[in-house]
Amino acid sequence: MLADEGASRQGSVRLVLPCVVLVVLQLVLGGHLKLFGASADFLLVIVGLLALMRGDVTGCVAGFVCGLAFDLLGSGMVGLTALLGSVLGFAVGRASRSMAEGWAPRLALFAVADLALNVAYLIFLTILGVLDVGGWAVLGRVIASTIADVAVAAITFFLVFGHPRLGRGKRPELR
Amino acid sequence: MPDISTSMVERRSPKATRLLVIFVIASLVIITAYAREGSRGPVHALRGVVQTVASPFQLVGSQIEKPFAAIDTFFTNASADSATLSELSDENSRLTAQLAQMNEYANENARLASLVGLTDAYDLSGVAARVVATSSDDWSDTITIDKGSSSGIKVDLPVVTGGGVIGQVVSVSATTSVVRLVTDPEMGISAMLQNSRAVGVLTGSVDGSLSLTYVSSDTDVLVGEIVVTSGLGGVYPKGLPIGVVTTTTPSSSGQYREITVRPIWPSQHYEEVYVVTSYDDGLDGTELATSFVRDAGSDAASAATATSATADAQPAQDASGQASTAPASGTGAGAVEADTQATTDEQADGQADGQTEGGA
Repeated sequence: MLADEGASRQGSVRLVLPCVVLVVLQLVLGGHLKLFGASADFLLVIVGLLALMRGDVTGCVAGFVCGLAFDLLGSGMVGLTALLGSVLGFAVGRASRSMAEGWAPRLALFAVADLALNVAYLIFLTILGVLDVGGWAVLGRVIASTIADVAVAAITFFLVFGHPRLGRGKRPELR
Repeated sequence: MPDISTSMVERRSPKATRLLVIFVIASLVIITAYAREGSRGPVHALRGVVQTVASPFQLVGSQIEKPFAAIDTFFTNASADSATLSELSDENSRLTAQLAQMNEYANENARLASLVGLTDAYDLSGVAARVVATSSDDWSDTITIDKGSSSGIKVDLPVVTGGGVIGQVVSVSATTSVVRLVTDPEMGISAMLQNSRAVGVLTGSVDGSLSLTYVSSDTDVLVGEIVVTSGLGGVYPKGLPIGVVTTTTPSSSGQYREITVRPIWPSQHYEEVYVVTSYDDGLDGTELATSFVRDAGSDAASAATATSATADAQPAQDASGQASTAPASGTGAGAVEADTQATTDEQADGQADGQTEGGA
């Protein structure tokens, strides 16, 4: 029983630690680190991580909280990333149930969800009249933004899910 | 025996789905509140608090970035003269690194001198600030500066660099402010073509370019023509340079021209800025703009040549003595390249024939 408690505590630390690191990275490097002209959204990686490890409920909550934090830290419309983040967390958490083990399939799922989020964000901004959806520059920004997010997610997921013990982290329980 | 996956969906979906619906509704409420409220509304206030809390981290980030900028300069210098550097000892390497650091200081000094020149020439009063972060989201073009409401900065104040207008303050916390740049897709500035005096609206885009809209198709617009603030709207002083026309074609509708404008300074080069808190309403600085666009985009030698060319064409400007207040900073920002400079000078000399694309 003590061993179970120890393992549980260790699992929590292993989940919380990358989240804390990613939050600090977002605050410190969020406006400085750019890949192909696009910034990585470290908070979105947290959403993906929590959704994959804990399921759709946690993913949905994390998506809303992290999305709102990202909106408040930035200069765009407040609430839009919160909306899309909660949908992303829900969807990734739901899809992770039938996910194969290992970090690569999870990264692929996150990449698809992130691309969908960036496209949806673009569509929302176009509907709101902020952006013009036409043109290669916009498409390039979507792809660059997704690549930046996936690059951070690849490192994070490899460290968390690639580890033989961490990879078995707490998953949604089948009751 | 019940199917496990079915059981799981039945037990887990309602809670997750309910949460999703709640969060979607909450997000929509926040979006609506943000869009409807003014800059002093609760959502904006919350953003100010969050950015105040985050500002120490951003300052750390800007400090972390500085050595990398120096290293970048070091490698640039090293690649410029690799044959000589290959023979250098450790002592020389250390000196080169010091030289890179000195170059950083020299560049900073030139930028500040240029900034002081512009504020003096246009009689601007305000607060100088350093850029500590750029926008963390990929769909807006903003910078965060290290001065906030405690330094007298308010929302809507214009922000300039040594080359001219770069944006407007959109949110303020106690110690930091967010400046929306002219290249931001949400930005729109009333602007004017320096020669034709046609007024339009300058809007940003995702790729960092600017478009001048609502300029009538029968207006003669020249490539290389300088775009300045019109002074309409009361936010920006009249005549501050913003950019240079790069292309001009009649629009598909034929009513207006499609004019692409290149900003004077690329946004990634902003390091020190000046937030204008007050200015002389009666000043029309349109004639001053040429010298500042030149200073922002050319080296000292080409600037000197261009000055002599412009002096022939604009004797009144020299007579006023205003152009001489602008220092030849020679920062080499690269926003206005030599070809554009030549076009501008030729235009000033009245040699604009054939430069108007698409005709009027």
